[in-house]
This record gives sequence, structure tokens and C-alpha cells, in this order.
Amino acid sequence: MAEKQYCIDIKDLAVKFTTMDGVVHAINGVDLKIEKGKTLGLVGETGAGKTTTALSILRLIPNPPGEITSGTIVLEEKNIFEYTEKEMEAIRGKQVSMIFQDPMTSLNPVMTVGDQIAEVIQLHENVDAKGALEKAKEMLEMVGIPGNRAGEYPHQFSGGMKQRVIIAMALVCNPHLLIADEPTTALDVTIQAQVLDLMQKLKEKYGTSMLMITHDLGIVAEVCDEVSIMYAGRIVEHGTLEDIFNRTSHPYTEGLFGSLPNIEKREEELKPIPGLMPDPTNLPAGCPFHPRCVYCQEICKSRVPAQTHLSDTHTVACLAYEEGTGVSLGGKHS
Amino acid sequence: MHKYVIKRLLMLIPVIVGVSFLVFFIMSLAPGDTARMILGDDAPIEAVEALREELGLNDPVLVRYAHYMLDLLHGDLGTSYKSNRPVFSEIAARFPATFRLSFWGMLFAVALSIPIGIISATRQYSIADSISMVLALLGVATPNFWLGLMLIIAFSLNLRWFPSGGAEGWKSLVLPVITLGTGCMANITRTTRSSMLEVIRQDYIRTAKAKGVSHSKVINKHALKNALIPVVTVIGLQFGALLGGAVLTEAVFAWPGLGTYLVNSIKAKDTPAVLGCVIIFSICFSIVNLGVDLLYAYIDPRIKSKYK
Repeated sequence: MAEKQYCIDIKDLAVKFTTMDGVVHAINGVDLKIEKGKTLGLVGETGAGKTTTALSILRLIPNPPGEITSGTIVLEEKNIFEYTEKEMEAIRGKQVSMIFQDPMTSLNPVMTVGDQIAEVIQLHENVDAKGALEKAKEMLEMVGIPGNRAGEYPHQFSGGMKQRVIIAMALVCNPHLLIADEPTTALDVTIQAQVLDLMQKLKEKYGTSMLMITHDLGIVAEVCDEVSIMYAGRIVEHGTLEDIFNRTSHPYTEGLFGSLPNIEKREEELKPIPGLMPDPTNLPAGCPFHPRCVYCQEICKSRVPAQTHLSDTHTVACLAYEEGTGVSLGGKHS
Repeated sequence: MHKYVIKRLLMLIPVIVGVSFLVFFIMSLAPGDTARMILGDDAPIEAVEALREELGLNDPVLVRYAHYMLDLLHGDLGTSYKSNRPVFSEIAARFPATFRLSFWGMLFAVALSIPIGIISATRQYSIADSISMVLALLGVATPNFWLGLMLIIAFSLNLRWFPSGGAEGWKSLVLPVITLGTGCMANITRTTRSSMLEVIRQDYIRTAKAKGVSHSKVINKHALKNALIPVVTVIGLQFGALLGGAVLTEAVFAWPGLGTYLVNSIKAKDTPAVLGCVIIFSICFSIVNLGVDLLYAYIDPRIKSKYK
């Protein structure tokens, strides 16, 4: 089998924020890889560190207060931390681009949408202002907005249309990697489907790899090839779609599925995960999930779980899968 | 847009009526006999009576006000009691000096304070930020007349670089412009800084950075225009106030402007002169405000869409 080609390879990434209330350990040793042309879903609750991971890839963590304390992010065979700021500017919007969560606030209110799209083109491609605006109009048509609306301002568009504009902006320079940070969370359900569909189509057309950040497992099932489950700044489980959905291994992942209502079994009670995300300024010792874990044993409170390979594609960070820890998930897994 | 401007200009009428009514009444309540003041303490009582009758000072206040407004409708601001010359020509002779001083004072303030405000905001809590904020505080806290006197001592008396007063040539402008500009500068700097600080934390600034826009362009192109609304408001208010005559600065530098004229007229109970000044000020202030509102529309398309 040919060597797999990775669009991005993140190793041991750690990010902390120094605030008045103490040091927030937002990301604690994250490993992520995305194969060329594939989509990786990054799933977790609010505050798990998903957006921070994404912003790290663009080196846009606000500093101060944020600081990347360790790790490498290899993009097209080069560690981005070795780039100068100027080189990084050339990468943003061209090699890696990002779609943000809230389309209502992500567009500049005093610039026309055409100018905002044309700006990316002019920054990264060798065209004049007029050519850039022409291309911006074509791109608007491609996302389903009439090109003659390029001269309008964001407040003249609906939420769904704004997100289309942002998608157009993100894809216009054919990025190798598209980071989509909860791109549909702020949209109506009917619009969500349209936007996801559009992103899928464009992604296939341009062969873009994608990092899809979401907390919606439905979206993951729809668009992702692989999934990483993130909790308290760590990846707790990673695998293909089948691994995660059919061979769920980590108690947290199990909890996420247990929180979903099932239309087939309405009499069945929802099983929400008890408790809240731990305070990131004061993460628990041992496994960060242990205070909320129904299978928690004494050892979980002191020993940090390592990544255990269940198969070629499936890894999990839980002591129940490590030899000789005595932790058991009630015979459900073997 | 044209409709909006016309509507706003028509609103000047109630403003002028209201302002003149208030000032007319306050002046009539003030103690002192205008006719006696004009003729002097030694004048015979009959002459004072006769002048009072001639000026219509014996009529009820409302009647006098009505007479005044009728004249005003014909564009007549009345005759100064003190100089016996038309108030309009008195004001017209002094307004250009006041405008010149206000304009350059404002330009000086804006040219320095906006860049300083931007630097402060983009390097929040740095040394540059602390220094400019301390200077801004000093600028607000320093009384104009004191600063003017200090500048005169330093640059007129000792160094002899600039004249200490008068309005001859650009050299005489320098010290009054600095004096006047410093107070405004401080306000504009602080407003620019706080408005910029708010804008650079917005999502669309992050979007711009994620597009690969360079830092300086993010600040000067994406952030500045969004941060300008409160800054323009402050500039407009201060410019309007300056056009009303910077009394203290004009006094210190013997500047032949409206501020000094107004104060002297109030002292002499010269009602037509005071009213004339106040009406001109309110018109200036309203026009500057209209200018500010039109600038809003130019800066922010969301505001423009509301001006119908």
C-alpha cells in the first residue's frame, strides 16, 4: 500500500492562556492528522479546545494571553512554527482557510461582500482589482448568490447567505485545507443542510481536505471520513466513522451518543453525561474525564491514560484499554 | 438622502426659535438698565427715559421678542446697543478669525490623536500606551488659559519664536492652535483608543486575519473605518463647541474672534449682539452636527440605509 499523504500533521500541540483567574490549559498534547482530500471531524463540547486547535493551525491564537507551549504543526512537509509572520500571511487564505461559526459577525459590516471576497484573491493571486472583483462575482454565483449582489453590504444578506459568502471567501483561492468551525451552528436547520451540501460539493470539486469542527454528531455522520473526539484539550478517541459510531470505545464518546434522542425508542430515557466540563484553570489529575465517568476507578484519579491502538485506524485514551490497570467498562467491551 | 438633508435643515427653524426665546428671556431677567449703560452714569434721567422709549425697552418682553423675530425673518439681526453698528456686520467681521482658529486647532488635534489612539489600542498595556494615556489625562486636566500662558512664556517671551497675540500671519496661529488643540486631542485620543480596542476584538477582524491580510492593513483598512463612528461624534461635538468661540484662548492670545465679542456684549447687556452670536452659534452647531450625521452614512452603510 502506498504511503499515505497527509495534508496536515499536528503532534503534541499544547496551548495555554494566561488570564487574571489563572493559567488556562486549553490544549494539552493534541495529535491530529488529515489525509489529503479527506474530512476529519473534531467533536467535543464547548470549551474542549476545538476552536483553539483550529486557530493554532493558522497561528492566530491571540498572544498575549495565548501561547503555544509545545508541539509541531506540519503543513505540506514544513513545520509552520518555523515560518515568519510574512510567510504565514501568505499561507492564510491560500493554503489554509477558515469558515467561522457566526456568519452574522464574521463579515466586515462596512465593506461590500464583493470587495471582501476580492481582497483574498488580490492578496494571493496575481490579478488586478477588476479581475479580482470579476472572480469574486463568479465565486458568488458558484455558492448560489447572484453576482450582481457583489456591491451590497453584509447587512443586506440573510444569515444563510452570509455563510455562503464566507464559504466563497474561504474557497476562492483553492485552499489545500479548509477549517470549518461549526459552520452551521448559527443557521436554521433547513439552511444547515443546504450549506453542508454546498461545502461538500465544493470540497469534492477542488479536492480540498477539511477539518470539520462541530458538536453535532449528525453532521459528522453526514460529511466526515474520520473523527476525533476532544475532551478538556485532549483527543480521547479517534477512528474512522465506523470505529466511532459502531465500535464506540471511550466512556465520553458513549456519553455523547447517550445524550442523543432516538426517535425509534422514545420511551427510552436520555442519558446525559453527569456534571460539567472541568474548570480549565484547574484540570483534574489523572484522566480528565474521571469526575464524570461512570466507570471511574481509583487509578483513574492519578494515572493519565495513554493512546491505546485498538486497530490500525482506531485509538482511544482510556485506562480500561491498558493492560493491568484493572479498570473495566462493565464487560460491555472486551 | 437629499430629503433627509432638507428635513434636517428645516429643523433649524424650531432650534433658532427656541434658542433665541430662551436667551431673550434670560437677558431680560438680568439686572441693569441698558439705556443707562449706553448713556453713562452722568446722563440726565430724561435722556435715559427717551432712549428707553426709542429702543422699545418699555414694551413687555413678549412684544419686544415679537419685534425681534419679525426683524430676524427679514434677515436683520438688529443693531448693537453699544457700537450702534449692525450686529450682522460685527459678527461677520469676527467669525472668520474664530473659524480659522477652530479649524486649525481641530486639524492639529485630529492629526495627532487618531494615530496615537490607534497605537495605544494595538499595543494595549505597552509603554507607548501608558505614556499616551497619561498625556491624554494631562491634556484634559490642563486648563486652556494656563497652557496658553506657559506657551507664551516659553515661545514668545524667552525664545521669541512666535508672537504672543494678535492674528497676523501663520506664526500668530501656532500657539493658540496648540493651546486649543491639546484639550480636544486628549478626548479624541481616548475615544479612538477605546473604540479601536472594541473593534479589534470583533469576529470580522479575525476573518480578515484568516484571509492573510497583513497586520497594518487589518488595522488601517478593516478596523479603523469601523471604529470611526464614536470618534467622528466627539470631533463634531468639539468642533461645534469651538466655533462658539474659545473664550479663554481668545482672551489669552488677544485673538479677535467671536468669543471675546460675546463676553463683552454680555457684560454691556447688549441684547441684540448676544442674541446674534447665540443664533449664529446654534446654526453652526446644527450644521456641524448634520455634517457628522452625513459622515456616519458615508462610513457605515447600515446607517445610510436608515436615512430616507
